[in-house]
Amino acid sequence: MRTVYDDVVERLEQEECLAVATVIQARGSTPQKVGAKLLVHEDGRTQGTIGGGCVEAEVWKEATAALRAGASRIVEVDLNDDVMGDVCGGTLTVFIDIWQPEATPAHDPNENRS
Amino acid sequence: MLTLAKQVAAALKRRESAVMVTVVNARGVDSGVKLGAKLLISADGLNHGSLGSEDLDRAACEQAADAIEEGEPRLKQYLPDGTLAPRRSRTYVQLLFEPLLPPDRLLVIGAGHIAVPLHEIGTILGFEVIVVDDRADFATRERFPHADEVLCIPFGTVPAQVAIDRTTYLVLVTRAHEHDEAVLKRVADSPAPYIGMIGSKRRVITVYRRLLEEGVTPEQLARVYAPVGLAINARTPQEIAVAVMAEIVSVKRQGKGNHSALRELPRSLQTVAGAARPPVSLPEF
Repeated sequence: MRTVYDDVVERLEQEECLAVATVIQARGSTPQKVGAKLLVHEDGRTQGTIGGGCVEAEVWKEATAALRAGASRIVEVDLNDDVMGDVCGGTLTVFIDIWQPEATPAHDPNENRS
Repeated sequence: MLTLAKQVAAALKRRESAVMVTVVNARGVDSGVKLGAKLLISADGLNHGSLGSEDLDRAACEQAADAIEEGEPRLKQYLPDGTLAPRRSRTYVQLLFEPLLPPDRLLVIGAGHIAVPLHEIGTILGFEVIVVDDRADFATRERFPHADEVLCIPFGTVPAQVAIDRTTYLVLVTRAHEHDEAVLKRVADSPAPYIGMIGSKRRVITVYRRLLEEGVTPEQLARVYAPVGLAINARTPQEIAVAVMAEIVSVKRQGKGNHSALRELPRSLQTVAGAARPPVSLPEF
């Protein structure tokens, strides 16, 4: 059984960065729920889904920008602006997490026992 | 970050539960707390990574057991000292708690013509799929390319060789009722949330009669979905697989699927079960 984390390991082992976009808040009638994930590779390929095409296009754009900048970010997607019509309404908050092969101070994998 | 990702992937492979906590937002906090900082909390208490503050790490650990129990991702707002932030607080750290739970298992007993579409649909639905048969020419990788495991073992050894826990959905689709009986009497008291058994009403009643004679209780049989699947008039193996997997989704999500299973033991079987017993009704749908 493959999970998102197998894909993350695979990319990082190839010395590539990976953007993991996760829905962290969903208000109104949104197509996906909290925890849904979309992976965006350095070459722009995607895996998984966080909902409809318009949401994904916007998140993809932000994810590729975040990959270039090398920093995680938060994106608010207003589904009411959806030009495709009023199928969905509401707002999605998506956290775009940039996974990097090298450990940065923020992600220092020091181990501790609680 | 590679180390952390490897630890998560390995824990999931070992079917362990854990919680991934990530800093997804921080306002008015000028400590070492950074966006994307992570703490992996394992069920065994061994942790990896840090949220950038001991107070937050401690607060997150205190929440870990609840997060695993809830099973759904949750967003929580904390103050830098690790206490929950009041509503409308201008200073806060948002933590995303993502429970990492092993996927549900679909255990397909019998590798015949219905097992093939069952293993395919099960994979699509995100189950970890295990197929079992005692025939080496049926229990093959070629036949079940999507299965996580294909085991060629005697049917009677199933509960010994495959751990059946409360995430295991079990479907009996063997070629003969004696094999169904061999498995059913050994799994009747297992914590599996779903046990389905294929067969016409007649075959089901034959199996139930033998099991009651062997000491399986009517209460244990009451958990079994047989005949298997939702009542959608499925005919082909593929349609039957859809009916079975829809039934499993309905059980898993507490839906209102219309089941094909017997609703009560036929009168003839109630005497086998012991005349002194009150009539037992079968699964409460």
